[in-house]
Amino acid sequence: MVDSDVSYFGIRHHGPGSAASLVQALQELKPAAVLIEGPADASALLSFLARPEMQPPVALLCYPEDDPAATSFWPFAEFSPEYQATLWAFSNKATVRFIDLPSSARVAPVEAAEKADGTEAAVEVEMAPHLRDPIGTLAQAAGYEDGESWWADIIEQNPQPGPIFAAIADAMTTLREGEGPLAEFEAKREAHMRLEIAAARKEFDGPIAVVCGAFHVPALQATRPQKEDQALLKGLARRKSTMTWAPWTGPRLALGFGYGAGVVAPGWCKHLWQTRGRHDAATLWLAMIAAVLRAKGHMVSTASLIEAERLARTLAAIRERPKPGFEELRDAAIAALFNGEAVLWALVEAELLLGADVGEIPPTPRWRR
Amino acid sequence: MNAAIRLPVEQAYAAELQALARNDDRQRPAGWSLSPKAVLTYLLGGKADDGTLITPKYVGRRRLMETAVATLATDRALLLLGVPGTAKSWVSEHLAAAIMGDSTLIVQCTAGTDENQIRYGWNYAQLLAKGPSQEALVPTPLYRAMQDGKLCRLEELTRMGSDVQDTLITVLSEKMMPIPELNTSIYAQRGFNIIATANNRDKGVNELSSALKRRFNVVVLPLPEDMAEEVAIVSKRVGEMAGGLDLPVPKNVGEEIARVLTIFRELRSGATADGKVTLKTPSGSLSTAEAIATMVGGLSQAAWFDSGKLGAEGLAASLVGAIVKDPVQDKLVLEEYLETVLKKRPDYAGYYTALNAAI
Repeated sequence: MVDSDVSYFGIRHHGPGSAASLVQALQELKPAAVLIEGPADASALLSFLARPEMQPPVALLCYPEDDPAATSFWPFAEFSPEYQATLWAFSNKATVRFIDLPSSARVAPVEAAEKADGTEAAVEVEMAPHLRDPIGTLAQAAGYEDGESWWADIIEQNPQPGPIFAAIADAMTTLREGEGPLAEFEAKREAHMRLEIAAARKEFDGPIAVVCGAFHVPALQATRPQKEDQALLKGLARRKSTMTWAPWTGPRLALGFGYGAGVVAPGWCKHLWQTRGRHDAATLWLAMIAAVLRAKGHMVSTASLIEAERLARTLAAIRERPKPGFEELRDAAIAALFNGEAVLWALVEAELLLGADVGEIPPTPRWRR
Repeated sequence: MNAAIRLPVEQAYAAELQALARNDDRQRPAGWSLSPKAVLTYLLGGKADDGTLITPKYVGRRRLMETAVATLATDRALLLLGVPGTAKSWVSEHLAAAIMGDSTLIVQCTAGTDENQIRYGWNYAQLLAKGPSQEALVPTPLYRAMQDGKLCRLEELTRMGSDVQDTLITVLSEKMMPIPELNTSIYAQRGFNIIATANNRDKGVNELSSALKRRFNVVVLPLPEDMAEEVAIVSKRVGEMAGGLDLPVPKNVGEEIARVLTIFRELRSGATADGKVTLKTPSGSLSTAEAIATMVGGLSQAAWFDSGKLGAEGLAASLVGAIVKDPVQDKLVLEEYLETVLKKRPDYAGYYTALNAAI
């Protein structure tokens, strides 16, 4: 079999901008296989995502049979690039699989580590914020508070998705230049993914797409001797783990709920996803704010909404951004709808930004590995 | 030395405004002397295109100033709210100076302000002699701002009676002022806008009606969030005002500012800086402006009476004046603060003794 071309798409987990760009890129590339950062032993469960009864947000839960409390979870929202990539693969007859460390290896290290020196922390290694959300860090460096607004502005100015992912890869390579030795767990994950990619290259005849967190792209692109990677993965303890899909909620997607790659505002991301390609995204968002306020008994007139939108557009012009983003809409809402009281924004925030979405799963038996 | 105590800011900062205007080729809204970006640089500080250093006029959140400038750029009226002493009038003055080059079209709203000061007045002699005519009309700053397409500043909007406030409603939404006596109206020229200021924590204010409030975009100017920011503001202003009054500034002014601000902030927030002791709050707002006034008062005392030495004794009288507004309640608050907090701090020993003596 000829070695196939591998394209790396570094995404922001649960970023609607990443999802939209990714789908467009997959349409152009038409890969034979889509490899996604996720527990390799759960690949068989991916087909459930394509079922109509499966309504995001949902999460893949994996736990060792003898210790259900030690659950690892992988959420999927409608606007998650991983979810959209899976849907694309199923409707375009491409193979899709997970390539990260299997969940059975993920739960094991707790025991081994405790035996070793008793000081090793939890399974999910705490990473520095700029490594956990590198695209958010780039956005902040560009002067944006909201990573998705930054991504949307960058895409607006650059309609070709190809160069975007190459640029992301460049940026991540620079970010990771001169980094010290990686934490053991992260190193194992990247080694496993490299080996999976190498195997897929031999297996598939046609382009391959790798969908992973942007941070990992330089490491997956790097050529390492396979023997090195295999040595790293030797003796990976395995526990029998049970895997299932579970309905998930919008708020749980948000940071602070124990998920490392969580987005800050799932409600805003969902809005961006559903209004992609439309010109009235700002107007709709303001209308949603008004609906929340009116439900709470506050009077919000249409005239005020008009003024809020005008202010948002002017703010965007002053900040030299192509269209109003999250911050412009927030500042405009505070000035035109809340009489300047930022405290009132907090009233709206929880409902609007976190949302109250609950997903659905089809009735199905659990899988056992 | 200038004869006037304080020049209008467009004259005091003329050099900065000219430097910004010189290379400013960005788009400007109708009637503006500077582009919005240049106005923001003027307000927040930075560098003009030719390298001239622009001092910051407002130290605080950037996005508040962006909202204010964006509001004025779209012919929407701006209302600056905040507790007394948070730079509302200061920002209003600098906004008008930067945008129009003229901050002098002011209407000072008081409880006694009536329609004649807002819309137009009459020259009664002419009125009686020849009846209503354009010559008998005495224009107000608002009238002139509408005619010439300039910015009008309304200070302390909530002090006016509600009936007079509501005369602004037509002006704000339709940008026209009807003159029924002459059977005409005047229509505002492009560039006309209003900057209003109001205190939202005060006695004797008349709340704006919802109809009027809706016609403004509101920016609330908060008290400075952290100590460093407030120290920067106070140091800068005290330096400027002391220079204007020809007062010498002793070397220890920085330390004393920090101490005075610590006292202010702790009383204002109702807890010590480390959060360990809760305190009662006095009735006054203990704002940044009051801290500036206290320091200038202390410098004045030092220069004229204490042969240039700034110390707790010189500041005590001004401090008591700022803290004790209600003679009964606030005195108790201050006494409690002195006994529970200041007594235990060795570097505030001077303040403890001086304040006890001054109460």
